Amino acid sequence: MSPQSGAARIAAMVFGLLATAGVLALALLMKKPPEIIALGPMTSADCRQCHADAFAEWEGSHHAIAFVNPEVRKLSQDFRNEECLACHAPRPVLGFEPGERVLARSSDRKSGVDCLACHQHPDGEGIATANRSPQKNAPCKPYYEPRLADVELCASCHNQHKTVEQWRGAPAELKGENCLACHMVDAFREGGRRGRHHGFPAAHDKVALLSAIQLLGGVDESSGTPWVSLSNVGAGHNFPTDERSRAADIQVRWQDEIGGWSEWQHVYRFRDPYRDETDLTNTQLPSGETWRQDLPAPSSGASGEARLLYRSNPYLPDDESIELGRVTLGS
Amino acid sequence: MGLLFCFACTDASKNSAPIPADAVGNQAEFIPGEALQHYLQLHQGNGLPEVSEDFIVEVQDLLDATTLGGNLANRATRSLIEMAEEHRTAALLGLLEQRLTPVPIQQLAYSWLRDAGLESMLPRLTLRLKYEKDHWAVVAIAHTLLKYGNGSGLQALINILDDNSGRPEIEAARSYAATILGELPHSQNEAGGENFAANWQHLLEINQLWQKQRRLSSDDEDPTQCSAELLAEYWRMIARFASQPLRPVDDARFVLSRQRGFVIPLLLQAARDPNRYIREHALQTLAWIAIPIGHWCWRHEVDFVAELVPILASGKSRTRALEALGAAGISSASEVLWSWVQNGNREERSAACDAMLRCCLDPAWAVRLQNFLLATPPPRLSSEGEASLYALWFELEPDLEAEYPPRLSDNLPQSEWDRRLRWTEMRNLSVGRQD
Repeated sequence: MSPQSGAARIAAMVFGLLATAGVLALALLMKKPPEIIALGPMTSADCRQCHADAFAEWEGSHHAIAFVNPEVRKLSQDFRNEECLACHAPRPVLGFEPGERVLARSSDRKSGVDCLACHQHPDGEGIATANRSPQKNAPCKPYYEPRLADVELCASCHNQHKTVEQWRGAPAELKGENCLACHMVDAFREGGRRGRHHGFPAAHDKVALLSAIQLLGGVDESSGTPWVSLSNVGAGHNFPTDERSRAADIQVRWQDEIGGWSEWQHVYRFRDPYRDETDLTNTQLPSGETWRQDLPAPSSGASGEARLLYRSNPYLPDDESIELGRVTLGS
Repeated sequence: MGLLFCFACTDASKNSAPIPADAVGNQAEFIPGEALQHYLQLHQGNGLPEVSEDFIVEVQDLLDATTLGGNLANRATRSLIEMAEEHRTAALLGLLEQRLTPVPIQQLAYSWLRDAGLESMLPRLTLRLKYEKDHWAVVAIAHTLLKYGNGSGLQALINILDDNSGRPEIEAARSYAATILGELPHSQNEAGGENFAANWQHLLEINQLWQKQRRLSSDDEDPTQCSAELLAEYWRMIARFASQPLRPVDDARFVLSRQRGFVIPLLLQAARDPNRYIREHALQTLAWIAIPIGHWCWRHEVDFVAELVPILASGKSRTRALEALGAAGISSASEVLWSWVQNGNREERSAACDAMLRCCLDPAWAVRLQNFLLATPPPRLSSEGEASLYALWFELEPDLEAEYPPRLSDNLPQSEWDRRLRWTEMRNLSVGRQD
């Protein structure tokens, strides 16, 4: 075989390949694009496929365990108290007027406050997103829904215990734009895309709790009386808020002359009582306000400590509560 | 892409067969009926009057004075007797609904209601069962309700009589409860109990009858209508369903699910209200009443299924309507429910499967269930729905030697299994099983 005929053959093959590729490309261009196949009977588990990050965040949240959380099950008598179901396994919130309470769903209750609870179009026709330019060809048919960032969306559940009303009355500097400002902070996804974190840090998150309050204590210079104060410096609602079972306690203990400590003594409880606790009143600390109390020391000049314990239910023992702060009283 | 293909192939929400609209209400337009506002207006002048705080305080003072003895007590008692009955009843209830009323005053108020209250107090008095903590007062409520043919307090009587803790407050309540045993209603064929053991047994039996049929003896007249005064109070209670805070809703559900059968037609009317919350909770309350509906409708020849089918046309209320259909334990609802098992969306199918478990008694359904559940590809049901249908299949075909629950145990919380086991047990009380 001559070099010339070999080169000609190679050229012919390249030409043939290019021609074939061109025809194929043309065929692909001419082909009718596939129709978008909408997801059928969706569950929140279907969302994981494309939104693994947000799904993982949600899985670690208390929204995800709203139905299976043992504490909730105990308080609701294993949901025999059906009143609790509406917010712990809700139908899609967008199916209700803004701010109106939600109703309970019949299926997939185990997934609690799941993706569909906030994102599903009431008629099942697409998934709502706060993204103004969603990928319209995504299988879940996303569409922009401004209500997703509105406090009224959260109010459907979280105003049952007046949290949103408290927020409306909060000082402007603590309110933030909406609930998302504190409870759905920015999260950056693959490729640098900005989203919102779906972990919803709140009453079960120590960092979130600490960002809400400031515990101070000391001894009054003029009277020599020890004191302790708690300020709601970061929450755009009462502290603690929402569930009436939440409680925050100020306790104090004193040191004797040889350095031994007394038992912790109860000083004050911040809590909204249940209706049948007729002897109690609402002592939650409103947004921006400060509570302060003098603490008579057992002896002049005695030093002590005050601490703040946070309890997810009022009967939780001290050693199972979250200590949010401790201050020294005296030298 | 595989995932999409899978969804496309198994989307059971696509209608596989047309269903007659008039049969199951899945295509018809929902037409709200005259309901809450109409009936509130109709009964505007009836029921208990609103009384002022000052008047309640005055009644409290009079009750207090009745304990002082002598002329003062006599005058106070006379003042209470001479008071307009409806104002006195309303004030006594108002007093009991306040949070800080002292227990001795409460006990006096309950005694007055028992001896001289009006029937229209029944709904608000029933609600006291939810909140009252004083055992003696609970017995007084149960006693008063019994006088009007309402057995809502029977379980509390049983619990108190069964409490052997010896606590002083319990002993006082037990003594009072024991006196009621001799007054329990009997049918003509039953003799009154001659001793505590016989009375106790009778108490257990009439409580069962109440739980199952909402009546206290087999020859109970079981009226289909109540007085206009009581009707007005029931509609006021139904009005609470529209509340956005949940407590009034829960209170109303508590009360209305513990009344005699004549609330069933009221709830059916409320289930057609234009307000979705009224509809939702009326239907939910019917589902809470459950089995007694079937018995009541059978006794009074009411076609409960036909009453509910038009409500299925409301997409917003459909799952609750399906739930109510099943809860009543009326086996003839099965065909309607089955069409939603096959053709509803995921929520509707779940509700319909659950409802099937609660009412389908005909063993002939076992084959249809088997074919449906074992089809290829399998029906794409929620864990709840699938568990209900399997439980039903095993109920209808007890000879199946398969392990129960057959599968999905990891996907369903234990409490959801327990809920289905409770429904399974309740099937034996259904109207089709015995009567």
